[in-house]
Amino acid sequence: MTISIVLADDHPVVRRGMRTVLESAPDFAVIGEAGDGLDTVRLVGRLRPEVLVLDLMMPGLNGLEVLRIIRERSPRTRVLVLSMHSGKEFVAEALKQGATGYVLKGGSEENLILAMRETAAGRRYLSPPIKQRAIEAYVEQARTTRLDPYETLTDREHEVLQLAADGKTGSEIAAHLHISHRTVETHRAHLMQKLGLHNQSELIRYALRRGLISLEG
Amino acid sequence: MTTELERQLASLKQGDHVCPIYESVAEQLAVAIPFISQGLARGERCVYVADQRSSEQLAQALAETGVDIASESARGALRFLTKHETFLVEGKFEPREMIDLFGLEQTRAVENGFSGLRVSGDMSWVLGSEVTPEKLVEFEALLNKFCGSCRCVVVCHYDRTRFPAAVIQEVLRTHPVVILGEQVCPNPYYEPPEFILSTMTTASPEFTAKRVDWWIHQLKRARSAAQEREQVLRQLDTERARFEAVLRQMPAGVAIVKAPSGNAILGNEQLQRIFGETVRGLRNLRDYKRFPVFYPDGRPYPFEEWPAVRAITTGEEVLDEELVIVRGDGASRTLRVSSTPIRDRAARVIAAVVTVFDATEQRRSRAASKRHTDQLQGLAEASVTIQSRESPAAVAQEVTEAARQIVGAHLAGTSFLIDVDWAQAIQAVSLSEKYATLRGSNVLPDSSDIYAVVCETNRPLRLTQSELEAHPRWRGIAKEAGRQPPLRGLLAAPLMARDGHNVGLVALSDKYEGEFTPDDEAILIQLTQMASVAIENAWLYEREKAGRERLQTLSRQLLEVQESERRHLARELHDEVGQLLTGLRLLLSPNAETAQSRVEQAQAVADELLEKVRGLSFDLRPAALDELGLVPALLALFERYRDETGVLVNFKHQGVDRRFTPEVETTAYRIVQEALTNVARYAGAAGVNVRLWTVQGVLNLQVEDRGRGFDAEAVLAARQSSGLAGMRERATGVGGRLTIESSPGAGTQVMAELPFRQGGQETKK
Repeated sequence: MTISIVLADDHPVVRRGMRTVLESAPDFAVIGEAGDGLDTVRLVGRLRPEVLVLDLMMPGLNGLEVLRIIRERSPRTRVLVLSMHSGKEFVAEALKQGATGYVLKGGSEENLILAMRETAAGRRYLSPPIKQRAIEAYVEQARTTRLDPYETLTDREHEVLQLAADGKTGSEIAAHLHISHRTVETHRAHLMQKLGLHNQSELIRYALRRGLISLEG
Repeated sequence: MTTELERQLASLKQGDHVCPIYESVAEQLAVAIPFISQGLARGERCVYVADQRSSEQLAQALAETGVDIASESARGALRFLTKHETFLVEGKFEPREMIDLFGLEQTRAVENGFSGLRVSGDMSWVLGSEVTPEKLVEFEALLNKFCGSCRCVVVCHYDRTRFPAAVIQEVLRTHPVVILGEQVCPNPYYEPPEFILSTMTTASPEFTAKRVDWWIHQLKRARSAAQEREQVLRQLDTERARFEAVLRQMPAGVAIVKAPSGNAILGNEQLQRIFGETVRGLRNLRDYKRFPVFYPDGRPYPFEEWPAVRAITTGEEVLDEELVIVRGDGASRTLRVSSTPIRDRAARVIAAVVTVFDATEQRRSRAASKRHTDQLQGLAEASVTIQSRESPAAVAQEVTEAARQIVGAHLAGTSFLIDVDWAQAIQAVSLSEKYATLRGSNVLPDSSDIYAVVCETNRPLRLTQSELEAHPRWRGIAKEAGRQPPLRGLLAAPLMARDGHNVGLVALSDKYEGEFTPDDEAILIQLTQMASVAIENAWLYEREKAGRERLQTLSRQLLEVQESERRHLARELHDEVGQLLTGLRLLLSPNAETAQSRVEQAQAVADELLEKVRGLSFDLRPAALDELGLVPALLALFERYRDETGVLVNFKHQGVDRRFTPEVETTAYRIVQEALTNVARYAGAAGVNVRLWTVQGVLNLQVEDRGRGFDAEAVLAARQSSGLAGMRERATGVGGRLTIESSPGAGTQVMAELPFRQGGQETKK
């Protein structure tokens, strides 16, 4: 049973090298080549190969875009990304967009053939030195984290927030911190913006909720 | 002093034949003495005919009035004769011979150089003599004829108490003028000599007819004389009324002052207005001294130099002298005074006319007009100096100085607004000589709340001291008292930017004289307008200059950065890549070891080369930033950073896992990169917090460490750090801003706010 393959890379030299390596295996059939993103999308749509070998850096459509489109239009075509980039961010992004395998350019021929077989079989393949666990850790890190706006306040803003919550006026805060009244107002405006507060009573409520002040005080 | 009688006697002239009819010796001497004195004064030969006793009395009386009897007698001007030497030559009285003798005496007197002959005779010698009344009358009648045609004046004294009435009656018929007491009277009972000497009997009809003619003629003459006098009086009244009307209408004050007393006998209403009182109180010269009088330059005007005093004491004619008088009510007036003496016929000063013109207003308006000219000139000069100053502080100094000098006040100050609370910082102070000792010391006018009123309302303020103290925003100067000059009234005007918002004020206090006027206010407004423009220009100039300098510094720093990056790249390419390629080339040379090991070695070197080139490429610009976006690029950066520096990055983000414009992404990435580099280099911290989040179209990023910290303000002000300046420049380049908060020992926080929406819409790219 032959595996039909389309090669997409903007460098003809790379394509020729790939074809040579892949056609050395009897069950691989390279049925098409494309030099840019748009051609790749069209060609894959027409040929419906089992595996697309895709370079992430291509003129026209970016490789990641191509990957996303193909996942929609030709969901049965599996994608093996062939990239210069060994960075986890690229690997993670490619996998997120639906790539099955990820190999680095400059890797060994055996590695490439192994990656092709695994990809065609629908199994994830990452070429060394890329590690599956590192990618998972990266994805975890890249996920949006809950950011408490309170921790973005500067020390000054903390002080101003506390004094304002204590009911001190701008002039009193200025005198207390030995800074100008205008500076106090700037800090106050910044911290209210960071915390999404709009007036003094919201500020008091926030301070109560966070335990900066208490009703007994 | 001249008596009325003396005055009337002085009107007697040559040709007159007069008889005083007296009742006492004193009365007789009162006529005889001045008659002789006046004759001596006129250069006439004076002859007194009387008995011994009467002559001695007269001589003594004359000597008492200052006549030198001996010398006057020696030069023949004064002669005392007895009846025997004159009337009774050879013991008998012959009228016609007597007249001839008079004629001879008169001729001799003229020949001897006298202006004429003056004869005074006491006729008492007739009593007890053989002279008959008929002869006496004939003599007197002949004397009338004689006197009418010669240079001789004759006075015949008759003692009414000793002569019989019949004789006195004849005496009245033969003298055209009689002297009674102190009056010299024309005599209506006089009859011409022809009547007296006529041979006709007085009872004859012809004589009576002639006498009636004469009497009617006399009556008519008396009547016309009376009419004439009445007419003259009427004319005098008219003249007087006209004179008084003129006096009233005159714009000048006029007074008539009698000499030598100084008694002011007349003063018009204008004079009263000028002096603030009537002249009735001025009875003598001493009364004048109660007015203090000065020259216009302020020196006291000596009393004896006053125009009126000079006119009546020395007869000087004084014209238009300017003097300043302080009135009883304390007001001072500038007067122009003229004074002209009035003289009698004898050229003696009897009074003076004083005219007084009130030049106070004229002088004041002249002074005001000069002041106006000076002020306009001052404004013109100030406009040049103010516009030519390049720094706001220099403009403030100029406008402060100019305002104080042009308006004329002791205190002036200029302050610029520095706070949203209308607080101001004093930029310049100007003090007059009065406060010269306070100059230079750090003494500034009280910055009480009143000035904020000017800034808030953006309108001028003009107050007297009491208005100032009554003002609700006045806070007094108690806390500054003693260290600064006291205020007296206030005039202040705002300084405004071109768009009309307030930038400060110029204030004046303690005007040299009086209170601040609307004119002063207009001047200050003009000055502040000039200064406002100049200050704004100076600000723009300074800002532009600072911007230019900043750009120059920055471009120099950018060149340095670029150069050092190239140096780094060149070193990497040469030292690392070059070395590896050289090694590769050696491995590929034909005369090497076994092919198998060479190929393996060459692959290892190629792998290393690949890794190097990837690293170099990442350093130049991470592909992830373009291909994947900000978060992936940053994550890659953090990993590399941790590997290279050992500093852990604690990354938190919210709402930024998306694409922004390349400018915003690059800016955010480079700022984080630079901040991390600084943390590794200077902070000495084991970890760093990086936070990214979006709020309403703004991408916020924060890089915070708890390391060493530094004096951020000082470093930024010195513009030493290309890194910090570059971060800030990048932030402002996309319309955002960057703040750095740090202090030694307190860590550092770099905070950037980068707007990523334009016009409220998310940019599409």
